[in-house]
Amino acid sequence: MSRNDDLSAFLRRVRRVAILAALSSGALACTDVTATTNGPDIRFVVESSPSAPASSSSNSTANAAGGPGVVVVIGRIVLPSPCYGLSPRVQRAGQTLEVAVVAQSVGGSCAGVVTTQGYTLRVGSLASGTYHLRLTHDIEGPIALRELVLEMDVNVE
Amino acid sequence: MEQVSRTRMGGKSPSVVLLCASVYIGGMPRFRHALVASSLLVIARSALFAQSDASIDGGASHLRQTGLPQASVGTLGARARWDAIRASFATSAISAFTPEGAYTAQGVVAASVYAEPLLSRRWELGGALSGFGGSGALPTTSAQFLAREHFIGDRAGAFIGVGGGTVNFARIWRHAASAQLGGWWRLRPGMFSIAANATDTKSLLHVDVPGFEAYNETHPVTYLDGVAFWQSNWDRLELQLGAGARGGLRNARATVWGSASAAVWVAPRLALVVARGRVLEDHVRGLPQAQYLTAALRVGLRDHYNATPGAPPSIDATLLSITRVEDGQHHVITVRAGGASTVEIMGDFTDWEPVPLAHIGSSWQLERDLPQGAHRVAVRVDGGPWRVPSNLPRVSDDFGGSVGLVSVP
Repeated sequence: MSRNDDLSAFLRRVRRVAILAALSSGALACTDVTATTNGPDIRFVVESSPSAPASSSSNSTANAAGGPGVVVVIGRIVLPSPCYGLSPRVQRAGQTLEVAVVAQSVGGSCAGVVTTQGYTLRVGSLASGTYHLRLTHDIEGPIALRELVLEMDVNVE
Repeated sequence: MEQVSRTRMGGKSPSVVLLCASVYIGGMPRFRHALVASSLLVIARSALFAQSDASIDGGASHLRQTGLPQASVGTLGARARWDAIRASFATSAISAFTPEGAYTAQGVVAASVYAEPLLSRRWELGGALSGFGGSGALPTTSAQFLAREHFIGDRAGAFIGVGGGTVNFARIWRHAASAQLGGWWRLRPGMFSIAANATDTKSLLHVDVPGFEAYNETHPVTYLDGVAFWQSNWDRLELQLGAGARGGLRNARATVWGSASAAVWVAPRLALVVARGRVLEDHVRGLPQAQYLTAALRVGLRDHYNATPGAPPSIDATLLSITRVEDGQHHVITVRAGGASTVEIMGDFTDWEPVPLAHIGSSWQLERDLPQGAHRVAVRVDGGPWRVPSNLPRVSDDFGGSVGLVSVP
C-alpha cells in the first residue's frame, strides 16, 4: 500500500467522522430541553436552537390560552446573543398570574448576534375560572431589560 | 347519552357483550344533521331486514358536557343490532346540538364472532371503530379489539377478557389496553350484572394557542372501573339502573357515577324515554365526562309488546309444544313467549341452524315435517342466549351445554 493510499484512507475516515458529528449535532438541535420547577405545577420547554430574527425590527411575541386546569403560554423572546438561558418565574395571587420568562447570560464567548428563542410554558393545577395573565420577558445582565409582552384574561375549563 | 358511552353488560344478551366503536359525522350544520338522520334510518332499516332490533330517539336534554357549553340541547340518536348464531353487529349514534349550531356527535359500530352455541364456555372475538367530535374541535377516533371467554349457565354467567387498540386525536396516537372480569344473574324480575375493568392508556392535554402550533402533552393513565347494572323488561316498561366507581391507579381521580332510564311503550313501536345520570370520561373512546337529563320519543322498528290480549306476561317462561296437523304429515311447533319481538328455534331437525318463527296471534309458530321420536331443541328470544324451553326436560348436548328434549307424536 502506497503512502498516497494511506492518506486517502485517513481522509475518508476524517470525512466520515465529520459527517457523523454533523448529523449528531443536527439531531441534538432538534431535541427540546425541558425544565420543571418545584412549587407550582409548571412545565417549561425551550426550543434548543435559537435563530436569527426574521428582520431587525422583530419583537418578542407571545400568546396564551386556557385548557382543562391549565394555562399555556407560547412565545418567542428576542435576545442580545445566543448565550442566554431561559427560565420561568410564576406567581399566582388569586385569579392573577404573574409570569416572567427570565433570560440569564450563561457566559462564555459569544458572537453578538441578536437571536430569537422560542419557549412553551404550561401552568397546571388551576381551578376553573378566568385568570388575568401578565407575561413579561426579563433579560438580566449589565443592561437589564423588562418588557411586558402580554396581558389578557384566560379562561380555564 | 348513556346508550353510546357504556358497554352492554346490562343488556338483554349478557353473553353477547359487544365492543363499540364510534363514527364521527362532520360537515355543515344543517347538512350534518340531515346526514345523521338519513344514516341512522339506513342503519335501522338494514337491521330491520336482518330481523334485529332497531330504534330511533329524538328529544331534548339538559346536558353538561365538555365542548357543548349550552345546557339545553336537542338530541337525535339511533341504535341497531343484528345477531346471528355465531356473530353479532351493533351500531349506534347520537348527536346533541344547540339552536346556534354547536354540537357534539358520537357513534358506535361493533362486531363480534363467537364459538359454537350451547356451550357452557364460549369464546368471543370482537373489533370496533369509534369516534367523538364536536363543533370547533377535532374528532377523537379509536380502534379496539376484544377477546373474551364466557362461562354460561342457565341463570348466571361470567366472563373474562382482554382488549387493546389505539386512540387518535390531532394525529397523536395513543395505546389503550384493558382487562375485564364480570358476571351476570337472571333475577325475578330482570337481570343483574357486575364487571371490573382495568384500563391503561394515555391522556392528552390539547390546547390551541392562536398564532402558534397547538400544545399537546400526554400522561400515562391507569384506572380501575367497577360497574353494576340492573335491567328489567316488562310488557310495556323497560327499566335500567346503573352505578359505578372509578379508582385511579395512575394520574386518574377516584370518582363515582350513576344512571337511571325508563322507557314506556305507549304503542307497540312508540315509547316515551326518560333518562338521568352521569358518565365518566372515557379515555379509550375520547368521550368527555357528562351529566344529562333527557326526555325523548323512541320509535322502534319492531313491535315491543304484544297487543293481543291474553299473551303470557313474561318472556322468561318460554313454552314449547309440537302438534300434528290434520293431514298427519306436518307438525306445528308453537312457542309462547309473551313480550318477545323475535323468537328463533334450532335443533337436530334444523341441523342446528337458527330458524325464525312466525308471530301468529299470541304465539310463535313454525311448520315442519318432523320424524317421530325424541328431538333436541333450544330457543332464543329477542336475540338473547339460547335457552331450554321452560316446559321441557333438560339434557346435555355434545358440547357440554344444555338443550331441551321434546317428543314428537
